Amino acid sequence: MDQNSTLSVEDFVVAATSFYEISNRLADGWKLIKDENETYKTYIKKHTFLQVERDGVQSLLKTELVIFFNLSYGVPAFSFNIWNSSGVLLTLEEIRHMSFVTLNQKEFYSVITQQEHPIFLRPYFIVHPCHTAELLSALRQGSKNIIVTFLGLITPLLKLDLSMEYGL
Amino acid sequence: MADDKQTEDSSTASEIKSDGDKENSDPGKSDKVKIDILLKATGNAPIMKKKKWAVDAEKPIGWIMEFVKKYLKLEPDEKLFLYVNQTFAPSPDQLVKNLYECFGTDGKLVLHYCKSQAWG
Repeated sequence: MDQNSTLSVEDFVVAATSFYEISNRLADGWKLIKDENETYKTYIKKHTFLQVERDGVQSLLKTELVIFFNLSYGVPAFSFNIWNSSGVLLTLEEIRHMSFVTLNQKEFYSVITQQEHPIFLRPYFIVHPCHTAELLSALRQGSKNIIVTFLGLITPLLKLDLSMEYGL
Repeated sequence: MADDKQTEDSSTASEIKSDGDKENSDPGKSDKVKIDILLKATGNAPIMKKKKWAVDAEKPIGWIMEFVKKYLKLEPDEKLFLYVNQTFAPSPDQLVKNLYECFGTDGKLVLHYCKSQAWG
């Protein structure tokens, strides 16, 4: 893979900052947490609520979304946790049923894994970054913000409700 | 597909027809609003011979994704992503008309597509 396909930490921080500025303009609630000493630990996160319906039952879920930099792959990475209204963490199986695309267990489990978060050192669901670079390199030239572009890979899996104004 | 004969002429938009249209077979609904979309390949995605299509404004983006996947004869395990402005991937349940209002230029909506072997 050519060097064009990966992102440097600096690229990531620039994109994260501009993403944060768009979010501020739209009052979308993303926060930018910068680590001045260890730049690669810079991340953006958002706490929000998801309304889902399953088997005719509506429920409100608390969601924490974190976009951080994957140092090994040189790409943005997506991690999240979802809790139900009693504060219980959702299982991967419950999350699978919420996604737009119908994926079987094997396929879904090969994309999202619960693992120790490289920054928080706590368990998070993390989307595998193995194909991110390939796709981002295709769109990198024309993209206005690589993190917005990157989130396009996540939207089919998880309802993000990202405002269309991010694309303008 | 019925459009194959006129693939050379990509200046005129032809309608995407699908099995899905049978579902809403309201007799009086023949005058649906159509929106011209232009499909452009990026990365390693194969190009489409016919790039310009007229799509029912009320259709969701996910429906166009399925159409392109079928048109390009992608393998079932290949994923397709649609982008506007080469930056933003709309959610599959987003309607074409909303995207057109937000991102449409010169009377059409330009969508870039690329494919991948996997999510993430």
